[in-house]
Amino acid sequence: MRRALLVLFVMCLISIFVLSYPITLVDDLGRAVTFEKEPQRVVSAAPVATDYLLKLDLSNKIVGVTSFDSYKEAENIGNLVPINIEKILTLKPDVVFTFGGFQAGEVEKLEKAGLKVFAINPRTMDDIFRTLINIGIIFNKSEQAKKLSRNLKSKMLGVAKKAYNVPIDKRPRVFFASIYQGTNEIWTCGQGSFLNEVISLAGGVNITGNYTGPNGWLTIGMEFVVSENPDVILTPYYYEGGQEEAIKAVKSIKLWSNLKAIKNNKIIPVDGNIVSSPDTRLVDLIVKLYKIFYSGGDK
Amino acid sequence: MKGILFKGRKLILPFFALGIVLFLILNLSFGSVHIPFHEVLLSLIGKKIESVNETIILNIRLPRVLVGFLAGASLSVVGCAFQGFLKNPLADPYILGISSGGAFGAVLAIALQQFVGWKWFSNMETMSFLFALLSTMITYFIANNKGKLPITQLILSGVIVNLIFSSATTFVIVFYWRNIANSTFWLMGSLSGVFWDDAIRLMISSAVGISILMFFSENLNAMSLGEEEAMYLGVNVERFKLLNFVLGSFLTSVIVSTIGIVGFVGLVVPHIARLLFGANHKISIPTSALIGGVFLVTCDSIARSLFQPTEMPIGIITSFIGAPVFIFILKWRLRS
Amino acid sequence: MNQKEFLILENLSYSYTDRIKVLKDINLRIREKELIGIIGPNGSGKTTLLKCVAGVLKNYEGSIKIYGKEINTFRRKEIAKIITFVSQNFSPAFDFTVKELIHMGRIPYHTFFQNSSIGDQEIVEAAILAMDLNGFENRRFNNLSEGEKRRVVFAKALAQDTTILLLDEPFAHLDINYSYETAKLIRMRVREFEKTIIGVFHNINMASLFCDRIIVMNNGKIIAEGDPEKVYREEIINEAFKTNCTIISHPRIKKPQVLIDWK
Repeated sequence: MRRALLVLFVMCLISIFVLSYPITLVDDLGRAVTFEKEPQRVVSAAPVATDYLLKLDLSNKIVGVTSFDSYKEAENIGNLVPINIEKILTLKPDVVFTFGGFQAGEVEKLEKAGLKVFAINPRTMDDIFRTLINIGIIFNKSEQAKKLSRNLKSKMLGVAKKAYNVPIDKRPRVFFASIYQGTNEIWTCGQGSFLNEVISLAGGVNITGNYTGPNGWLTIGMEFVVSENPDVILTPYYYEGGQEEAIKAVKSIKLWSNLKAIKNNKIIPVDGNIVSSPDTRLVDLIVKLYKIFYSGGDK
Repeated sequence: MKGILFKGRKLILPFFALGIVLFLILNLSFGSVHIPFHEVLLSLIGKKIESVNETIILNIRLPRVLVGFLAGASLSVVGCAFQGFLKNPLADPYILGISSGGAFGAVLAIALQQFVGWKWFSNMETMSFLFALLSTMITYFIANNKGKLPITQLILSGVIVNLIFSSATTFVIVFYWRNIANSTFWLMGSLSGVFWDDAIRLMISSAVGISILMFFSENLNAMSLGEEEAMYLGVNVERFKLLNFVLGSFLTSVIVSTIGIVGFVGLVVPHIARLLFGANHKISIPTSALIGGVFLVTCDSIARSLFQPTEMPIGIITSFIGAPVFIFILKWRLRS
Repeated sequence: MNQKEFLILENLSYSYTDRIKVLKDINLRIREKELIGIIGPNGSGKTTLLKCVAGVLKNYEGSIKIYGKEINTFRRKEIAKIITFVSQNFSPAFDFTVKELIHMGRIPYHTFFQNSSIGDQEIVEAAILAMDLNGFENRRFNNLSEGEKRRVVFAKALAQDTTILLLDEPFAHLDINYSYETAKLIRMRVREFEKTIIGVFHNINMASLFCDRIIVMNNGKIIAEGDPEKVYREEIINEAFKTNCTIISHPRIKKPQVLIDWK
């Protein structure tokens, strides 16, 4: 009996510990961050973080975003790097979200100014679901986050399972082309990038999947694309109505005029803000790409 | 006629210093967040004001203005000394490639931090200093023509060294961009996010560097007559050149590893100082320091207020002001 | 002439590269307050000799002793208190004032912590007075005439307060009136200040007027030395300069002058 009581007591203790503040989490820069109470004012110092906050209905807590954010309902804090610490300080945030390694130096500065920082850096679909849950925990919304992540995951796996059943040689060969006009530099996604994973999950074969660069992204020569002759070319656009121009940019490369993708008109514009941002919107992208790859039914 | 403002220097200098202090305080009220001037004054004398504003003034803007002042002062003094001992009016840490060497060292150190355990090789300041010194030496040896440093040759070799190290910096950044904050920071400089530890480090290095150069101002005078003349005046020329290279690289590397590359300050300011106060290094070194400090603080205030809340790299502002002066000096010198 | 011989060159040889010797076995003994002129054709080693004595070229063979001490064992600063060098080109990088430049002559007497020394002011004043530069103190060097510039350079050399002044073609760039006027003034002051001068002269007629003793160099060797009357002989000058000349005596000053034959 006493033993049972003790177990009960310990369990109560643990549950209090787990379910209530203070909470300590390890962020993606490997820093332990402790939250004494539920944060009420949040600065999203990178557009990526904003999506997670919006998905968890936390828009009323966002007090600051960068000028690159598509969410405009909060105070503008300027650049991602260098970060405007003065501006952030006046917003009195309980936590500042930063993204990736390129803001790592800024994290240090923010901390010196006495701000609490939580850095996220999702690089795979699993990372994205984990980040969603972490942010849910921080804002005492872990149940909602878990549910959301479960739904997204099953949506993704529903497509992915269908795609896995397609034999490799029947899958479309896909090339992602982000063309920097003027320099003719072409960036693409390789091994280790989330977009490579997105293409694979949607049932495509990324022609640059065997190569890699910083965070999985790399520049690629035009001739390589000719030799691989992809079936589909994905190209990003960055504003509504920019789709036509993006397609035109791909078509303007003379060397590529004989590619299967171009002859068959399989140049697919994709939202540049989504493909450059590892967040939950990628699940919908996977669904969309699957439909594009296998439109007209499985052959 | 020594210089426009030289007459009665004993009277002018205290006012000059007081003016600078007032000017620095005035700059504390500029920035992306508007803070009224009287609040700045209150917080400086220790009175309580709204806590956020107090943090901004005492922990962000005060060290920032100090770092700006010290960096401007040091760069200008290095420029002044280099122009003197190389007998070349266009010498400056940026033109000679010292800054890009230092930046490359700093960036390389950050990149190496994940591979090399040995602290010495991954210490940013040390690497920055070593590469600053290396780039100085390379520039000097390319330009050196039987002990003479022709103006054009010095600039050309500086351009080459600049190119080499800027490309190398970009190369490292492309390969390790997850670890390296931002290429514009290293290539164009920014005072954003400097704190008291940076200010204290710069205070020590500037105090040491500037005072040593001030003690050697007579040797700089002698060197500006030519190396042989300096020798006949008892200057140990080779040793003095080495001292200048080491000291210049040291000061530049400390600045570059704190605020990135800031161009043209060391070029423009000494000319202004000489115009106003005369060529004698006993006076042009300290006045270069003061004018350079004020110049960089002003540029930083412009950089952080012009397109607020976004901050501009400070190097853009200094280049806008410095490049035309550079062209003017080059034209004027090549003609005479 | 019974002054002490304080500067002694023995078997002095020098070569810039390994093969060609620019100076060959020079022997010279110099007394205090002597005015010595070195003449000779281009490439005869005059300036090299001067730079060896100045302590700039250190890896010579043989010995150069000043007050009994080998010159290449001195510290730079110590030499600068004994020897000063007036070169033909003097172009400061910046626009210094006359007084600032003359003050620079005092640099050898200053230390790291003390940028002035006792008597600076008096010595500089005396140098200004000696070179007739009163009223020029705050003028800028670049705005002076060539003759005035020369006087500033000599005032700086006087302010350096050395026993020996080495002159490397000091009047080469001056117009004829400036060069003789300046030379006369300097000769007078050097006597007053009791300096020893070793000068390289392009103008051999001026050397004859200016100097007590003439040294004729050719191919790195001294081929003749002595007072002008003894050295200025047609065979010596013809041999050194590969020319035909006539020597006459200056009708008023009684010093030999060289006239070049024009056949």
